[in-house]
Amino acid sequence: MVNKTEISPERKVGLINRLLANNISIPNLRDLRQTVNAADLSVIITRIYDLNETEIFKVALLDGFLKKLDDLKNARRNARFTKKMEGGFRNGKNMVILAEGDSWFNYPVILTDVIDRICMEKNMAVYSLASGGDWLLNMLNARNYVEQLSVIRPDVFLISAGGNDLVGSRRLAAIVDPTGASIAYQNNLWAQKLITKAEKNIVPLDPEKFRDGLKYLSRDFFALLMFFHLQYYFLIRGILTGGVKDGEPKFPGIRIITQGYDFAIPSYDKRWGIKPWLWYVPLIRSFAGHGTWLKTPLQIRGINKPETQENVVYAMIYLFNEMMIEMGTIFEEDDKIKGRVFHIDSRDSLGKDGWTDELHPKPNHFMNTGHCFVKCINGEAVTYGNVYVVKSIFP
Amino acid sequence: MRALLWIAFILAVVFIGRISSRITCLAGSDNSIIKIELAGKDDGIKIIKTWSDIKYKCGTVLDLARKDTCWDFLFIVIYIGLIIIESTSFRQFEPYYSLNELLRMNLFLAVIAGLLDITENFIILYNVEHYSTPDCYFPSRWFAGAKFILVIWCILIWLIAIVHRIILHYQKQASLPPHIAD
Repeated sequence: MVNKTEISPERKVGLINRLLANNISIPNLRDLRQTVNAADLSVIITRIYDLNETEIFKVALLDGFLKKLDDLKNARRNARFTKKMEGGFRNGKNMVILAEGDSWFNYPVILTDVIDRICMEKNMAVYSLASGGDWLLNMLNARNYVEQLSVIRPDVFLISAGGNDLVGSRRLAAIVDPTGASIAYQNNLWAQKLITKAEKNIVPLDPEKFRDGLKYLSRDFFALLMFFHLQYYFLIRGILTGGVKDGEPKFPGIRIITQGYDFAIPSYDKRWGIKPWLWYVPLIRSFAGHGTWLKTPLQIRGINKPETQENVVYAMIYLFNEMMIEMGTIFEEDDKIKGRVFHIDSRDSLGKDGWTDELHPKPNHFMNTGHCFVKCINGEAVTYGNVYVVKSIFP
Repeated sequence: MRALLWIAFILAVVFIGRISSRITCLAGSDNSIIKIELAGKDDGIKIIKTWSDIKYKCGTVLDLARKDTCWDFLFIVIYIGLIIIESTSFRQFEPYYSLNELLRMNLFLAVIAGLLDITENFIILYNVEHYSTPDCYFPSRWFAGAKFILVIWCILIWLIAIVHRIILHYQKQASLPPHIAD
């Protein structure tokens, strides 16, 4: 249920403690998410990351050359957006879109990313706030999307976030259990329910890989996963039901589309080869952080076996996507906002050769994912529920 | 940025073009800068000899050739930047994957073309410096030839992208979902 319920501050503290200890029940998690506010999210994150809030924002802060390139790309996109608006684009048929996200939405210069593909559509105008390397935490804290939502009043809001909160600044090392004996999943009924409810016929679950990966995911990972659940709920609820005036929410009819990445492969391989059209793969792998997001943090914690490393990421991404899919289901429960939250599921669409580096697909896969966003924005048929599965659309 | 690069490109073409045409006027069309870029050893030695024999202001045409080649380094930076920016811009409208990939390859080819041009310029400067010892002459034709092929390829891909964009413009309206199409 999306409706707010009230709980006492003491009970809320208790629920937060339970969440952090990975032993919160499903009804309690529901109660917590219905009452969570920005201050609670701040308390939870400082305890997950074991840092004070200022330090966390310093870790998550984007700066330097990459940020400048991102800004440049956004400036060009947004200039095109403004030009379209000046030409009378908003006519009730065309789609006005606001995008907030990470490098899947804004990869500077070399790669064609998801938003680049959406921008190619004649009936879509995209205003982009996305920045490579951006954390969900930053997006919620900076609240740039809130300001632009009010100004632009988009038909569709796109968000791609969470990846950098998981693997940025070598955070991955902090959320794995190198003993391989973790029972954090067994203690988390909510995560188990996510997997029970998963549409395994459409995105098959490899039980062996998943089980092996789970053995290395610590309770901090599950706390972070539940934290993402709260953050996304807070963000989506705010957009769909916030700013009510005369019984009408501020953004009536707005649709929200999320995405949840694919099974990334930890690697140091530079992929030197003889195909000149893939010139950018070794270049990006040599100079843009390849290996430092997944492989190095896992090796720091002594998880050295490549298959185990792959399985850890497999389990993480499977759960992350199911958490996002559940988000859509939750908002389906309220008739007033039914059919407004969608998920683009990229799992298993890239394969082993589909990656430019550890985290970013090759442009053709980015374009396929972007094309699924286009289908969703245009209201074409879903794969199931509120989910568009990239692999089903581009087998 | 894009507009600035185009302005810089036009200014550079006009400025370097003036120096080059001065050389052609003084030494003849068989002894132009382009000719020496693509000349073999014997022809190159002949052109250098011609340049060294023709007086220009206080020196010879060799000084003009040296000046032209030095300014060409700046021109290289401008045209590499332009190919990268324009190819990236074309790519943002190109949903056809193969053409999108070819436009991305232009970035790489532009850098290679620039490096070949820099090498060629150093060879020309070396040859101009050693005009009195023809045995030291080193032809730049292979570097220049490869550079021209790469730049022409990049422009060809642009032209294909422009034609494809025009085709898409007319196709897209027809393929839009009924609730969106006019």
